Amino acid sequence: MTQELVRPAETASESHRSRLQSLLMRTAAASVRPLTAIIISLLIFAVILQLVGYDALQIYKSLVLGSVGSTNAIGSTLRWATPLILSGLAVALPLRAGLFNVGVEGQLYLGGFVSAMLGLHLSAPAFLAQPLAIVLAALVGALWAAIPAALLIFTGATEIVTTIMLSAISVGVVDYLVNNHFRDPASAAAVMTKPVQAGYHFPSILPNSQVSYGLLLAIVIGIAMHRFLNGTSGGYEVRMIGASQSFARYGGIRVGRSWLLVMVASGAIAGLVGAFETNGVNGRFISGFSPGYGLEGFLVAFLANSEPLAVLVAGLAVGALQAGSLGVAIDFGVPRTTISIMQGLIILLVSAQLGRFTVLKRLLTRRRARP
Amino acid sequence: MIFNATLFASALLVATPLILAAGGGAISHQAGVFNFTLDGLMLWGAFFAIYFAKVGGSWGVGLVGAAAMTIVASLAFGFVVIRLKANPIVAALGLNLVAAGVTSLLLRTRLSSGGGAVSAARLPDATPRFLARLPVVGHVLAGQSILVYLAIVSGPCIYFFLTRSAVGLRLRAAGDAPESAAIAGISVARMRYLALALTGLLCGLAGAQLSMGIAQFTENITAGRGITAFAAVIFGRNLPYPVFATAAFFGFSIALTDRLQGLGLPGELVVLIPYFLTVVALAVSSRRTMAAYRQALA
Repeated sequence: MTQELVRPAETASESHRSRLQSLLMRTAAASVRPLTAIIISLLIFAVILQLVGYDALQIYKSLVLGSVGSTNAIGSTLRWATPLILSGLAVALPLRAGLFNVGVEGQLYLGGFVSAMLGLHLSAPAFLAQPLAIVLAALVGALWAAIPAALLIFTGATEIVTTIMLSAISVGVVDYLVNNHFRDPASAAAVMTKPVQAGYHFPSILPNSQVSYGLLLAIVIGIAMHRFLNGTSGGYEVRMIGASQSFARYGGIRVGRSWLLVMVASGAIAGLVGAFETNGVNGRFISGFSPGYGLEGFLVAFLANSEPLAVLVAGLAVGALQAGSLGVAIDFGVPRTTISIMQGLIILLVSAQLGRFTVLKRLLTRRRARP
Repeated sequence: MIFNATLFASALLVATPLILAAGGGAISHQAGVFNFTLDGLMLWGAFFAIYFAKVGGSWGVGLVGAAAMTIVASLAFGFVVIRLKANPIVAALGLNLVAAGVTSLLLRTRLSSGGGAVSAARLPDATPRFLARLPVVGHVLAGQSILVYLAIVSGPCIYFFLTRSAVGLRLRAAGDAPESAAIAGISVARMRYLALALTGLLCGLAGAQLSMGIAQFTENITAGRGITAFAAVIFGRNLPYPVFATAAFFGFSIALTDRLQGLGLPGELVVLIPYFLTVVALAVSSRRTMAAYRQALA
């Protein structure tokens, strides 16, 4: 602080360069923790794989090839990145206000269900049908997320438990309805509905891939969320609540209103995941279509420290992991849930202050002290 | 008639893992460690109970193995949260995911190639002959395992440990006023590790009851029971007896809803009723506790 006072004025070009430098430094400093968590998790996971009897090096090689090794692999990465970015954003926004929406899974399940119902039972031209399905899915997701928000605000019931419970309820009810009332009679092993009408089917935007325009929408939402959090008074209130709830209350911020807002927006984004998976990738509702996007959303959000723009990058990275793990599952006969071990390890460690690596971060941040 | 001895017998069976895990959670919270790992730890315990029972060939080996492995897992969580200062909620979500993944991987690679159910030794009947002969009580207690009795006495045991023993008082001091405790010469970190070890022990036994009670392990055998136990901890405001009573009540309601399946309600929907009850129970009373935790976490 005192240094700042005696520092001579800079010329314009110097200030420009130092701003770029500071941005790079900040990005580097912010990446240290997630990267360290990832590296340590990869090491622990390798040990687990070796102990169980797999060749970890071969598996990691196959993981990389399956995610970025070919055009098809990149298409697969983008396909998985779409729901992961959206789930990450759905988790990140409430986190900024200090809330844990652990019910993204149920909200996206409901979104997928209603968009499939619409696609099965209502004839409409494509230009109307697709926006309709998207809006309805977002609406239902938002409503389902509004319940734990209201319970939290009016009764103090912790959203960590209520979102999980409501999520389990919605998944159970939807599975029951699909299995007993809307099941495609031709389906054997998998419980699923008939395909949705052609007008409702979201087209692929890249050749030979299952990438829908949900990816573009996810990017737009990410940028909008960034602008909201950093450029509006509503976003400022959200960040302030996240920093200190009591301080925000003392400052006259209506905490409950902000909580409702972020939860509703979060549920709406979760609903979109369901719509794009159901009417886009699968073309129909399939029971258990989500491999756990709800929790993977936490992985993405934590890696990004809940910064919306960073969520876009983290979602891409976790999408690559997902795409690669499919290749691994085929090549080595490893159960797909195995990859969730690595994901869990990263979540476990991502908020930790990892010993001497924080020294590195301190070195990087000290240089930033000159603004 | 729904309310008969069979209902109470199954209520006791369902409530046992809930009571044990919730008691463990209460100890952690009393020591100032927010602990959302109960579900993951129970799953972990359930798997290793069957694993060691199969390897060692007896239920006793399974019980000890489950307890030991779960204590290790809980201490690992403690290391991440206490030493590395990770956010406890974040770390708990990670631990639960790791537990699900590791148990599923080990199940497929070490126990059964198909990934289905694996059976091993079952927990034996621990009810003394004279109790089983009693008219109604005997019907409820007959065939219950040692862990059921342990769950019943766990409430008073935890109460006396936390309020009457020197270690228990230090443990609570570490939670209520860590700075003062430190000044008074109490190692806050050591007390918290101790609390987490006890949580691990109790959750490991809870898991063992889940799997060895029916003599088999299936993927995701906890089915959210650990989250219900956590809800009981919140609902009971971390106090031993209220937490015990809430967990017992949740167990009773789950057993009751299970019986409703016989009344023509679809089973797929009946299994959802406990989740609904948990939400209602939390909404009815949980004003203060969470607000306090949010402050502590901030």
